[in-house]
Amino acid sequence: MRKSIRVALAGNPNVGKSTLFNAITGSHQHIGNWPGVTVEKKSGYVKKGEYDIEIVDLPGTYSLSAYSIDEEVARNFITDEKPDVVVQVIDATNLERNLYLTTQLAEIGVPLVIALNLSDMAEKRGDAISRQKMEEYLEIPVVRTVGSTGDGVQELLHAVINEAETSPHHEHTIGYGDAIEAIIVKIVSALEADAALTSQYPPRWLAVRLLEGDRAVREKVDAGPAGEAVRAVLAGTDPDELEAEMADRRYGLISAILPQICTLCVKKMSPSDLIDRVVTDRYLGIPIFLALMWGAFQLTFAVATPFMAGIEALMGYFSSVVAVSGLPEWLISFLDGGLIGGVGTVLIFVPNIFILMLILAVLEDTGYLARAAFVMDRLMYAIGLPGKSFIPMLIGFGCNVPGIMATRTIEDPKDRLITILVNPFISCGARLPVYVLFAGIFFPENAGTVIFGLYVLGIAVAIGSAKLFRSTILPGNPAPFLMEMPPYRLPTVPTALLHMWDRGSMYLRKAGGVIFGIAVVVWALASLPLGVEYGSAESLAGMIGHAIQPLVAPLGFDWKIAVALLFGFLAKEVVIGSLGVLYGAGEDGGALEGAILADPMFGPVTALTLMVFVLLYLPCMVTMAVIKKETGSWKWTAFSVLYGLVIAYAVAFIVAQAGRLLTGGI
Amino acid sequence: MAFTGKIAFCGIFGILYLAFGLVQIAASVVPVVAEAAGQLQIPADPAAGFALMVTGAVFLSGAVKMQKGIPEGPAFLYVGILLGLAFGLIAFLASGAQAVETVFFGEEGTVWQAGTMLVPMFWLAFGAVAGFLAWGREFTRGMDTVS
Repeated sequence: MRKSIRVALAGNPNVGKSTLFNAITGSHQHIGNWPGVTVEKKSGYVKKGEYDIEIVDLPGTYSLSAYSIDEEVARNFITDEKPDVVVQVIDATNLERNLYLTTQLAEIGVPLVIALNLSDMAEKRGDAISRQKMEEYLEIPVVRTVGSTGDGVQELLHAVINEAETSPHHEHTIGYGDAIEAIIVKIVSALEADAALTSQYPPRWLAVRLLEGDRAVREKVDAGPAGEAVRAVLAGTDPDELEAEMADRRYGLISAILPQICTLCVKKMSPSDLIDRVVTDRYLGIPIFLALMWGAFQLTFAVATPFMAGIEALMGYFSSVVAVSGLPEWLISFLDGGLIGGVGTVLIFVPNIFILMLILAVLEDTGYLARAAFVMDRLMYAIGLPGKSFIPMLIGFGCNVPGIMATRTIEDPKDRLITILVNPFISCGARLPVYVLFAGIFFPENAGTVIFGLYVLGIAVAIGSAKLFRSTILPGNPAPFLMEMPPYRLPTVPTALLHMWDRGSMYLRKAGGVIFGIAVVVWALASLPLGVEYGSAESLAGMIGHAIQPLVAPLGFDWKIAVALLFGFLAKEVVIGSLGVLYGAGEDGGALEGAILADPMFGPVTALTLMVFVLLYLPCMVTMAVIKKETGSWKWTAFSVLYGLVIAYAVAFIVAQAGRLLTGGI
Repeated sequence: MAFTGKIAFCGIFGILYLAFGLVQIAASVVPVVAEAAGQLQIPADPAAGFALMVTGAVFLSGAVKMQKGIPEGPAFLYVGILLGLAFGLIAFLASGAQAVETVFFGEEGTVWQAGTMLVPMFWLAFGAVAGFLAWGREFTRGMDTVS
C-alpha cells in the first residue's frame, strides 16, 4: 500500500524555491511574488519508492509574523494544515537573513528539513559551509541542493521521507532574556486553561506570538477560556518593543552559530551594497533624497528652457501667419486666442513634463526610488503609515491616477484609504506647467528651487494630513515595512526613453483632447455674447469669473484666475490653457508671460499663492473618478474634494498674507 | 594607514562642499553676503546650497569613518563622488541650456557669458572626476570582507 506525505516548501523570496519546486515535481510553474498579486500556494506531486509526495510551494516570506497576505498564507498553512514535513529552502549565499525564518519554524516544532539551495554559487565564491555543523547546531537535517540542475533533489526527498517516518520533535527554545521569559512562563501557565488550543499549537510558541502582537493568535486565545487570564498578563506590555527585543535575540543566536557553520563566508560588498550603506543611512538618507529631488527639478526647469523657447517661437510664427491669413475675424480670433493661446500655451511646457518623466524613469530604473521608499519608512511609520505608502506617493509625482491605483499593494484597509486620500497632494506632472510659468516669470533666478519647494510642500501636506487622519478619523497601527532592495542598474537609453514616452505622451493626448475642448469652451465664453470685447468683464467668462471672484479675492486672485481655477478641475494644465485664452496669449504673437507681467494684479506673492493653491486644491476629474473607484465610496470621494479645497484655501491664504506682510507687495 | 589618500580627499572636499553650500544659503538670506558671493560667481540659491552641504556631509562622514577604520567608510567616499558628479552634471546642463537659449532664442544684443557656468557646483565636480578616476574601478569591483 502506498503512503502519502504532504510537504510544505517554505523560504524567503528569491531563494530559488520555485526552481527547486519545478525540479522536484517536474512542473513548469511560474510563480509571481510581487506586491499586488494575490499569492497562492501551488501544489505538485512526485513519487519516490512507496511514497506519493505532495509538494506545496508556499509564498516566499521573510518571517512568520503574518503581517501581509503572503506571510499569512504561509504561516496558516504550516500551523493550521500541519504538513507532514516542512522543507525550508535557504539561500546558501545569504545564510544570516535566511536563518531568521529557520528560528521561527523551529519554534513551532514542525518536522523540518533544510534545503541548502544555491550551494553552487556559495561554493563558487569561496564560502565554506559545513552541513554537518549546521545539522549539529540546529538539530535539523540539511541537504545540499542546486535547483537549477536538480542536484540534491533525490537526497532531499530521502531526508523528507526519513523525517516523515521518524517524526523527530524539533521544537527549539530560544532564550529571550529573563524579563521576557518570565512573561512567557506566565502566559504558558494561563494557556493551560485552554486545552483545545494547546493541543493544537505548542504553548510556548503561542506565548511568543502573543508577545509579538500576533493578531490572529490573539483572536484565537481571546475566544477561548484562557482569554481573560492572558489579557491580564499582556496588559502593560508593549508588543513593538518586545518584538524588536525578540528579533534581536534571534539574530543574536544566528550571529553566534554562523561563524561555526560558515567558517569562511566571503561577503562581497557589491557597488549596490556600498551605495546602499550611504543612501539608506539613518541621518543622510533623507537629505540625499531631498538633494536628488532638487536636482531633478533643477534639470526639469533649466534643460527645458531652450525647447520651450523653440516651441514658443513656433507658436509665435503660427500666430503671425494666422493674423495675415485673410480668414474671417472670428476664425482668426478662434485660431489665435483659442487654439494657439489655449492649447499652444500648454504645449510650450511639454518639454518640462517629458524631462521630469525621463528623470523619474531613470531614478526608478536605477533602483533608487526603492531606496527612497526605504529611507522614508521611519518618517512614515512615525506618522502612522507603512513605508509602503511612500511608493504610491513617488508614483504620484508622474500622475496621481497610477499613484492611487498603486495603493492596492497596501494590505491594511485604513492604511490604504489614508494613502489614497493624501495622494492628490503629491504634485503630478500636470501641475508642472503652472509652476514653470509663474516661477520662471517671478522667480527667474531661483525657479528650480521654487518648484522643488512646491513639491516638498506637497509631500509635507500629504504627510501632515496622513498624521491628522491617523490620529482622528482612521486610527490604527501600520504594518512594518519589509522590502528587498533590487540591485542598482544602469538604465539603457532606449528603456528610459520608452518609459519617458509612456508617461509623457499622456500629456500630449490630453493637449489634443480635453485641453483643446476646454480651450474652445473658454474661448467661446470669452467671445460671447456677440459684440463684447474679447475676454472682457462683459463676456460670459467675465460674468462667471466675477460671480466667483469674491470667493478667491482674499487670496489676491482676480476673475481671470477664478475662471482658470474653475476649469482647472478638469485637468490641471487647463489653468495655463485658460489663462492663455483669457489673456489672448496667441494674439499678435504675444506670449502669456508678457501678458501676465503687464498685469498689475500679478506679483511674486500672488504668483506663489496661485502655485500653492493649484498644488493643493481639488484633485482633477480623472483622479476623483479613480478615488471613487478605489474607495468604492462617494463619501470618501467628497471628503477628498472638500478637504483639498479647505487645505488649499488655508495654506494659500497664509502664503498670501505672510507674503504681503514680508514683502509689502503683491 | 591604508585610507590616508581617501581620508584626505574626503576631508578636503567635505569642507569645500560644506563651506560653499553654507555661503549659498547665507547669500540667499543676507544681502551683504549675496553681494560678496555674487562677485565670486557664488549664486544665492538655498536649495543648491543644501545639495552642496549634503555632498559635503557625505564626504566628511566618509573621512570620519575611514579614520576610525570602519570598513564601510569608503562607501561614503564613492557616494560623495557620485553626488558631486551628478550635481556637477546638473550645473553643466543648466548652463548649457541657458547658452543654447541665449544664442538661438535670446533677445538681440544678449550674449551668453561662459563665466556664468563657473558656479561652485560645477567646478567642485572636477574634484569628483579626479576621485572617480583614482578610485572608480576599485569601487565598481566591490569590496571583499571576510567574516
